[in-house]
Amino acid sequence: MENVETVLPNRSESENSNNYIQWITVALLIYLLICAVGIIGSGFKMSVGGHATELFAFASNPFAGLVVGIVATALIQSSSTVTSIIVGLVAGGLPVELAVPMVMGANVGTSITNTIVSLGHVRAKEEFKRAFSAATVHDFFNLLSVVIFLPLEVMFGFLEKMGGWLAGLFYGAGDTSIKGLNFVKAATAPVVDSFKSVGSAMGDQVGGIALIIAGIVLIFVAITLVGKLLKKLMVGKAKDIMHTAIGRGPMSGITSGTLVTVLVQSSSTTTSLMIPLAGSGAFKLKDIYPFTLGANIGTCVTAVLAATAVTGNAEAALQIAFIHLVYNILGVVVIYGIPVLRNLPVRAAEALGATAAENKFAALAYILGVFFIVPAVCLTVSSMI
Amino acid sequence: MSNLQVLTTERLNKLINETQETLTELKAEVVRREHLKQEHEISDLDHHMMSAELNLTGIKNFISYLLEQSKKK
Repeated sequence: MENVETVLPNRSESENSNNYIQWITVALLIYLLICAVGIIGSGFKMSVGGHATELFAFASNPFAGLVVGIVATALIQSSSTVTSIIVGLVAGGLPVELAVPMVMGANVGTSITNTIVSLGHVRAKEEFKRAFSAATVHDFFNLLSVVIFLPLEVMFGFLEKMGGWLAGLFYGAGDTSIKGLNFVKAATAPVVDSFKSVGSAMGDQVGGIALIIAGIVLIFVAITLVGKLLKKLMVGKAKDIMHTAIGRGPMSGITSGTLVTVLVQSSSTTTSLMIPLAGSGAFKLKDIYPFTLGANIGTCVTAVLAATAVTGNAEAALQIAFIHLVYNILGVVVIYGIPVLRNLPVRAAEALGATAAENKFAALAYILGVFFIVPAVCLTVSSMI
Repeated sequence: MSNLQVLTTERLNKLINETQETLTELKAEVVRREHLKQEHEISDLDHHMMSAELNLTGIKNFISYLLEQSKKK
């Protein structure tokens, strides 16, 4: 028994030190993520100068911007990565009004991940029906949100105004604003400046593009690794939050979905986590639905965090990050708040789940159609108009 | 319950109340069991985290399943 007693404390000590190392790695990766957004902004500014509007002229059609957001996120499989890249581009000069449909598209594109995860249940008919419905309720909610808010944004620009107002709170208060107290920016400046000087040595065009590519790769690596580490580190906390939410109604579901997503820094992880829970039959679609809405809100934290430290057009970068947050909160308030709208995504997901369970090719056609073929066709048509 | 017509109104009201109470209890028990099942699933969250990861094997299995199905037809 002596051996056991001497071994056990050592094991717990090694677990503790392992945890510390993992937390330090998470902090470093988040630092890297913030730097990477700054690097993209600098690279974009360097390569396009003041011609960002001309370069993104194709996205002046809001529908084209939406499609870019959908396809880019569906391919990269991470809305946090895409919105962080958009924040960097806005800091580098991309006009905010062109970026708004792109972040809306990122919301839609990210819902492909849990839909693909649900395909793993294909061999058990009832299980697949439940899993596919649980996955696509997120898709339908995000599509409905675009249908409601994109035309309103084009007509009134209300999201842009609200995001601008929120960013103004941080940038417009003189010495007490984020300008005067931005420690994050000061901390990331050495890394961003080093990359910038390397980029400058390569010439504005080539150097700028090299910085953008380096920034995108760094964001992707940082978000992927942070997601993997936080999944391990936060699984206990996620369990506690979800246990607390059981039987406490939709508000609690939305809150716990938000919290779990903030903890794991990925809405795809949160919504994909719902798939096996729904597939087993333990959680019904009405239990899953509020949780996925919370995931939409929680995922905005990454871009807001990244936007606090960018150089260049920093206020616009924070504005687009807040637009993403406001858009997702309003989506939940309007669609979930209005009873007639609330059940539309649920009914559509249930109908699609039943169809896909009978004919699995419908599931494949749905994924290819919604995330790739329809956007591609629409992009082609809109570019011809 | 074929003797309903011979029962007094008082007796009928009593039966209704008892039935409603039983129904409430039964519903509460169903909800309790559902919550218990959910608690159990959440306890398995570590495992679900792994199975909820996007991987190429899942897509490959889905495609091979579709191919199997199309061959059967």
